[in-house]
Amino acid sequence: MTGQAWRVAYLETEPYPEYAYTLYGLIRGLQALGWLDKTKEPGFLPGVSDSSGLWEWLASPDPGPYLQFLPDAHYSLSDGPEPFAELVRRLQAGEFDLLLVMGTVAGQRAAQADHAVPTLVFASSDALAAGIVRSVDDSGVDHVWAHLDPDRWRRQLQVFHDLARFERLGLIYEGTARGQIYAGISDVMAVARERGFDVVSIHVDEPASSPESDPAAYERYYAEMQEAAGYLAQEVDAVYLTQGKWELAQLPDLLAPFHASGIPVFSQTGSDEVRFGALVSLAREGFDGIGLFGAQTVAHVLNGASPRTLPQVYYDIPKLAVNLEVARRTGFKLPFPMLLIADEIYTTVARFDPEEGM
Amino acid sequence: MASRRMTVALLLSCTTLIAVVLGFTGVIHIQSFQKNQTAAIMASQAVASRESVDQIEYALHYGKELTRFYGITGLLQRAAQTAHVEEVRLVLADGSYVANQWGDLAGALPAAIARETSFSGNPVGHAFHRDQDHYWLFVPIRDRSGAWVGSLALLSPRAAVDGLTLSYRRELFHSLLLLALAATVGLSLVVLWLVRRRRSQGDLTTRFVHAAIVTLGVTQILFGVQNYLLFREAYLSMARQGATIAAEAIGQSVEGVVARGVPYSSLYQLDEYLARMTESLPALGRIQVISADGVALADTDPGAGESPAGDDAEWSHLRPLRADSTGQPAHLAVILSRSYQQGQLREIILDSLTVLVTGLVFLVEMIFLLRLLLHGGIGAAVMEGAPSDREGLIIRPLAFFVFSAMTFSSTFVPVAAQGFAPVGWLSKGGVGAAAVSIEMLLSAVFSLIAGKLTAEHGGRRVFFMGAATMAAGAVLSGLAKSSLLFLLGRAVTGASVGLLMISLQAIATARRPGEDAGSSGLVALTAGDGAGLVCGVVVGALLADRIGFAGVFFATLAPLFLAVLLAAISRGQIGGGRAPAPDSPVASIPLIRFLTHPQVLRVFLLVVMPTASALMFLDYFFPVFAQGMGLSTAAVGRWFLVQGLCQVYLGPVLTGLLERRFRPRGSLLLAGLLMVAALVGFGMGGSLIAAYGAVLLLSSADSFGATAASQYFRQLGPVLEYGLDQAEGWYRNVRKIGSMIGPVLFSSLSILGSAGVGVIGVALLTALLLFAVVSRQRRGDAPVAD
Repeated sequence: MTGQAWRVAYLETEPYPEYAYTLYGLIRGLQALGWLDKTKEPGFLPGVSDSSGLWEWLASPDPGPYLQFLPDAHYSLSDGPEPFAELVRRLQAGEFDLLLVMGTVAGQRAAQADHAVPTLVFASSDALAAGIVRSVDDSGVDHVWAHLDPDRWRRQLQVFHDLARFERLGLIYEGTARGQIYAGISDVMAVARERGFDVVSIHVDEPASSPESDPAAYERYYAEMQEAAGYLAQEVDAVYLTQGKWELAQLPDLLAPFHASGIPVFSQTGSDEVRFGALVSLAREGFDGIGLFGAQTVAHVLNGASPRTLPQVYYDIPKLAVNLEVARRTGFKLPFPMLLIADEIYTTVARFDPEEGM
Repeated sequence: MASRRMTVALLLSCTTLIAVVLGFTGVIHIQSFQKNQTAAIMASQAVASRESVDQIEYALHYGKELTRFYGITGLLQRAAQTAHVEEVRLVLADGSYVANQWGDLAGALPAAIARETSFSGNPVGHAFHRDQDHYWLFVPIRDRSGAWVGSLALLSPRAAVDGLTLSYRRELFHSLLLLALAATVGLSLVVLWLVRRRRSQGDLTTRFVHAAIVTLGVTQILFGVQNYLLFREAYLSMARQGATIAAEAIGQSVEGVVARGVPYSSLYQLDEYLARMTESLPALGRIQVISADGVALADTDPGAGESPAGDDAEWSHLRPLRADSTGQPAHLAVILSRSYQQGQLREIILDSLTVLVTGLVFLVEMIFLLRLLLHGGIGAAVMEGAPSDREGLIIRPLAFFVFSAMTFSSTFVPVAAQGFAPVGWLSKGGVGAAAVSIEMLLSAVFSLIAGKLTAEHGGRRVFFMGAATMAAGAVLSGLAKSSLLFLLGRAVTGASVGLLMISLQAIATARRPGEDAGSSGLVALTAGDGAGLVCGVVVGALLADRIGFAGVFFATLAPLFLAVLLAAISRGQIGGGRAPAPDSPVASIPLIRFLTHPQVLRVFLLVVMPTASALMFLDYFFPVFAQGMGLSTAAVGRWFLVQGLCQVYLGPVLTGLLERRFRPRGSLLLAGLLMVAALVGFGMGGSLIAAYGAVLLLSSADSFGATAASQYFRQLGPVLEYGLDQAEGWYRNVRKIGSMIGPVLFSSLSILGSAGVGVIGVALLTALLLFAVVSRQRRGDAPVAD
């Protein structure tokens, strides 16, 4: 490979903000380590879920001489089965030196596919539970590596329980194995047993495609979500808002029954959901940390290290976000020490403005 | 000529002694102030760094690890903005540090600092350490379960922190010089006046001593008053500085939240947050956040009524707070604690009084020594005009120095022992008890050995052996880094006590050819013993708070050296030293019959051992309890002083009074009942006041009870038959065995709390009642009268 740029490909489960954020963090990390030109700023809008814009920037000749991002090397499982098959064929043909993967399903597919190109999986809800890697210390496959943050949902839920001391916790998630992994159900149940609270679950099937390609599926999805929220608002004293395919703009309406019933909603995903109506979130602070960690892993791999031998665990710095307006509506008293260390304090519940975006 | 030389020497010596006592007082006060000042600055820094620690702890609750904490430098940089702080390090519980505010950092704290600043099982809010260049403040970082996982270490240059007390130190030094000068001039004038009116040298010397004591008392009182006024201002100024730093840190925190849109009306649990600050900084009595219309939005002491802040600006610090999102402004009121300030000043007064009493005792002893030295050498021993007995013998200053050295560490041995890690089956409390018990045990064993040694080699040689052993024990105790080594140090010290006590007795009772046996040597020994006890415990306790326990163990070498020097240059005085033949007739009954005689057994088992065990409340239980209640070693030392004063002054008075009303048996029972009252009273009360009461009662009871018990024992038939000297040796050792058992009892029963002490009191009562019943005089069983 001497004298030639390393060729990188990209695969994601679907367009999703966290994937775009993670890729952006990775670019920043690679810039910090000198693998990409530090003087160039990738154009990136917060809240954007589409990573293809970032890929276009990477595929331009500017980012630097060491890495090559071909314009046609950006793949998404949401585009159907054929593009993934094409990616596997190209991997087998040796067209790429590294595969970056975002998301649990994409991670499962890429890890199980028949190729030997180093594959680094990011933004997976639980790569261990999903079977992408075998253990915390060993991925089990020489060319596979996945970022792990063990027990993060458990820790998050413990903090929420410390705060609200709820006795009946409500959840809405897809009742499939994948849905359970995304929602961190095994961790939720473990904390419920440990802390002695009940879990009330409602299963709602998630749409398979994007809102633009299948608006009817989303209409059904939101209706079922509304119904589930209305039911839980009568049954529980707190809600754990796990990862879902709703658009942020829909969140204020989806959470309205909880606000009306004085039920605190804790977001699993992060501060964007707090901005749109959840009470508190305690999620990763940003993507610089995981970006730098990922960039170091990329550097090790491109320098010849086996992905299997590299450390996979990286704990994110938690970012605490609270919404005062939601606290007022629900009558929840946020303690001063929590406000003191809160990274973000929202004083209103945001509404999506089609003119200005989010 | 000799008279003039004597006068000049006495004058010079007395003024030097006065200067020494004043200097000691000054050093004590300035060091107390410096220590409190430093503690207050460290507490202020702990308050100011609280926000960073909270952030780190929250991240740990979420699952981050200190060893892989991305973004830690930002949090450390925030803490580094604290006043006087030069560097901030993140230190793990094992003492290694991993980062500072500039980035990653590899290294480890010296083991001694790491041990000293461990928060394992220690709930305190912060700790600090001083090295050659820096003050290290450690604020503990705890995980979700409350376990200590590391610390934030804030390094401040010593010059910056110590410099804050410089002006007060200078002022104190100037006052000290002026008073010493005034005392010298005053004393010189008095001496001149006395010389002109003198009748005899003896008369002059006695008056001179009185004049020196009065001068010392007056100057010490004046110096105490001056210190009080100086430090009143200094402590207030220091508290105001602390309040300013705390108010700024709290104000910034509150404004930081308010600035992000939180109205003051939505600040819940702010009271608890502020209360944590007052806990860290005891100089702060109350903190309030008050709205523009005077309503307290948060208050650490809502029951105290309206804030006095507006009435007394000297005692409060007000800081305006920005308006919130609703346009409502507020202000922060930090009110200084008057009771805390009064407590600090009370300490100054008590320290002054303690040093005054100790200084007077010290002065008297030094004048006695001076008289010996100036009157034709120590060997002459008897000074012109003094009673021609052995009162002036060298045994008195010798005993003074030895007992000073022996009691230097009395106030804190169990506390120091508990500072080491538990070992084997010994718990932390068990190590404390073992340290006292092993000392008592070895003291008893070596008393027996010393008896044989003095008979063979003479008291002087055994004295030097004892001094060398004590020096070894002190060095071992001072250097000890583990429980085992410390216990070894105390065992060696115990052995030295046995050797020194017996050798001093041998020296005191040794008769030179042609001399009659008399009690004056023992009287001088007792006087030196009492004075040494008073000075030793007080000086040792005062020093312990300032130079640490290890420093005091090493300081023991100073009076010990003086004792050895004195013994070395007074060869003629104590050169014989070989134990004289006992006065009592040769034993007419064998040892086993003596020890198993019912009269002896019941005294040993029902009186001597139980009371000696109970008295360990003073030596073992009280220092540990008092420290647990937050008392300084100096404050504990004051109660040991009370004990010493009772022994020296109250004992003879009470003994005289009671002898006229009771026989020894009655007196010893009365003393025992007072001890029972002390222990049961504490067992029921369990408070510091109850402990003070118990110390007073026990000290008073022991002051005459020990003599009464000894007198009763000496009258017993089997004692006279076995031989008084040998019997008394056994008596002393049984008492020591009781003293050895005492700490074990107090330590074992500590699981019951203060009630455990009450249980010991009830056990003592049972023993005494049993003794009262079985020792009733029956026909044919009367004790042998003198």
